[in-house]
Amino acid sequence: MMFAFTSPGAKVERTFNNGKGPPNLRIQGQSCHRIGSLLPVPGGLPKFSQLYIYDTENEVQNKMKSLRYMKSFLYSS
Amino acid sequence: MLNEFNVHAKSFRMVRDRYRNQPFDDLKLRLIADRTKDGRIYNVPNVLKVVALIVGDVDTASSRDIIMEKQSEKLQRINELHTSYLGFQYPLLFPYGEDGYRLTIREWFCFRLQTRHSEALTLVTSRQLFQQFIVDGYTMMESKRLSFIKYNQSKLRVDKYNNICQASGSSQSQGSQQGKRVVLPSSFIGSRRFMDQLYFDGMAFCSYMGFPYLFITFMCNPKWPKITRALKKLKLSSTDRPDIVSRVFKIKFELLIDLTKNHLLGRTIACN
Repeated sequence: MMFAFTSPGAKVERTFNNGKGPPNLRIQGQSCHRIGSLLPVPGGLPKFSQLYIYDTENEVQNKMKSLRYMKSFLYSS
Repeated sequence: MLNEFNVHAKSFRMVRDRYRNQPFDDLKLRLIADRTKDGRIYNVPNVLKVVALIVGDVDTASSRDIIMEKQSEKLQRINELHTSYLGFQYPLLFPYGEDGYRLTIREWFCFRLQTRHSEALTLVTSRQLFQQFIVDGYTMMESKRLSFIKYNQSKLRVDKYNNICQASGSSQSQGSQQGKRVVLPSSFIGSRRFMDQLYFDGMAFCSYMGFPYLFITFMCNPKWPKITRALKKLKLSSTDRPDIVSRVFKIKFELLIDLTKNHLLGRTIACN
């Protein structure tokens, strides 16, 4: 997801993937891909394709921030 | 690497450069869905064929094109028939921003989900991403099929069916039954009519031939030596390659015909 330009728009069921058993991807309803605007809303963090456009001096940092598990890691240290 | 080769990354970088030089312009990016030329044969798709950067007003575009606004909170939905649909979502699987399918979606996925000696194994060894890719591909295929059925209801003679329903149904009508109804034919796998047909076939069979002696359930074992042998070289587990597992299952399933042809469990009277 770090490099993707679009965000997956399906409803993903996350209760199933708890580390036991093989990894699973379960979605419900119709799946689609979505794309946002060129720039993030004021005050928001850049996401997906915005990472390529907005604030590219700190691109690596921004990319790491956009990942969920990296976020907790970055803010705790 | 993406900056250097991926056409989509390049196109977004183009927006960045423009934005950096003139941050107050009203920029819009148009992601073009239809290609006039075949990008696969001689020419790699280049940036200008994939996107157009628009300053100011937008002219009327093809319905499948996506126009990205400069700044808004809305997310736009990408049509699954957009040629770069998968390229945008999986830049690491398609590092050059290759075009999507040109045949049907199913044919294109059949072509993609193969191991070839002349090709790097990026796609088939990417584990969870590969799973997501397959799920995505299947939903693309299914939504295409569903939309075909939805827009070809007149060919499928739904009107006649609806008239029969109206004639036989009671005069009381509920709100949930109002509106236009889309009828899935029995050829759509998993639909109600499909299940009904299987059931009626089975029942007709039993009433003609008598009760079955054997009821065979055939299941797949991911630890079959054929599967493990193929996966050992790649150092993957069976969950990482659902394509191999299902392919081996299909082969074995078709060998079940031996039961009827070679009379392994005695002479077969009938089978369904």
